[in-house]
Amino acid sequence: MTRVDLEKAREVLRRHRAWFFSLPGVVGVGISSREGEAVIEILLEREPSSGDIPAEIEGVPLRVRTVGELRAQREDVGAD
Amino acid sequence: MWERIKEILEIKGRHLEGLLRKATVRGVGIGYKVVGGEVTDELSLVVLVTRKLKPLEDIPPSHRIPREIEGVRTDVIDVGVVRVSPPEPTALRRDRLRPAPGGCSIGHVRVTAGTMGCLVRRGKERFILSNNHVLAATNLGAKGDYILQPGPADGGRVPEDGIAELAEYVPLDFSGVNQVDAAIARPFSQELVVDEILDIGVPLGAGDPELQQEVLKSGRTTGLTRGHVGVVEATIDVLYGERKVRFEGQCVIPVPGFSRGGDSGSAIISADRKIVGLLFAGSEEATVFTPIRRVLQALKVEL
Repeated sequence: MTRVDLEKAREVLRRHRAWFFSLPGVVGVGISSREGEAVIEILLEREPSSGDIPAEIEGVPLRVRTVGELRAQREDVGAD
Repeated sequence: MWERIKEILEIKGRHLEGLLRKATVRGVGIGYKVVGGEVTDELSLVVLVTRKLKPLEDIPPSHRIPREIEGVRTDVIDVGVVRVSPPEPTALRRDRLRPAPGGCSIGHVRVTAGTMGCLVRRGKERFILSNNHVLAATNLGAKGDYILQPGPADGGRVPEDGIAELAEYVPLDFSGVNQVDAAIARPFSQELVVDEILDIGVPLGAGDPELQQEVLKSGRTTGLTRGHVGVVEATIDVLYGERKVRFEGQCVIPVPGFSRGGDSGSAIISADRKIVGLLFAGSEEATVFTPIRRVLQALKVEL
């Protein structure tokens, strides 16, 4: 990953973070890499409907991953 | 029994890397030897493989698993693609262990159970590191509260299983953005705990997590699992019961089955045995951890 790519992805992520979280089912967003290039990865609670999320934003590729509900992981028998 | 486990842990430490290099080996643990379907009382080195290779003749000699290593018999268990460790090695983790190593069950009197991550230091004092939601009952705990090993869900009782008292925690902010879910407990005596982490050995200091880095964790529920760092600098919403709590600066391991409920508080460890993170959340599909330096800084402790 070149430094410029990473810096750019960081900057774009910072500016659009609130927008990412406004999309349906988004539980997280961060930096990842694909074939040596920085990408923004969006974590979803459930499979996205088509058209919910664009393929890129300001030239930075977006990748989605469905992870389900992220929970604090103490033993869940009788928790909370 | 614990003396023998310590001996085997040392033997395992010397042979772990070599074993993990063999084809299909996914993990190494300690468990009771199973002979003809019957569990014996002999402790053995349990080698977890994705599938048993047969017949023996087809396996190159360098990839064969010896029947015995330094006098300890081996037991090869087919775990398929590793999701959870088999019951024997994890059963040990839910037992009462003195001294207690990283990777075993622990918890505040008011929680179920989580994982004792590792020991951290401030000056000459050593503390147990885990999560706020494990050692401080998600902001409900008070300094001096009993910490049980094993945790209450694994049979830990007051006072006989008390191992430490809650020392400090970073309060979780339910309406703001959080950096860590972390707490430390002060052992009642230094002889009650050891630096070893089950199935890993003694960690070699702190490191920084990097994208695509291979990592391990040793936790109370799923034992030793392997994965890689898939996302860094992540902002994430995590459910605590029904409450959604936001974190920033987190890392994600996108590996199904890497952790489950009860693994919270586990140390995330690199291939060169440095601690790079503290696990606190996850789903069936992914695990979330905090870079360890953030945790150390927030609690003003060192590894």
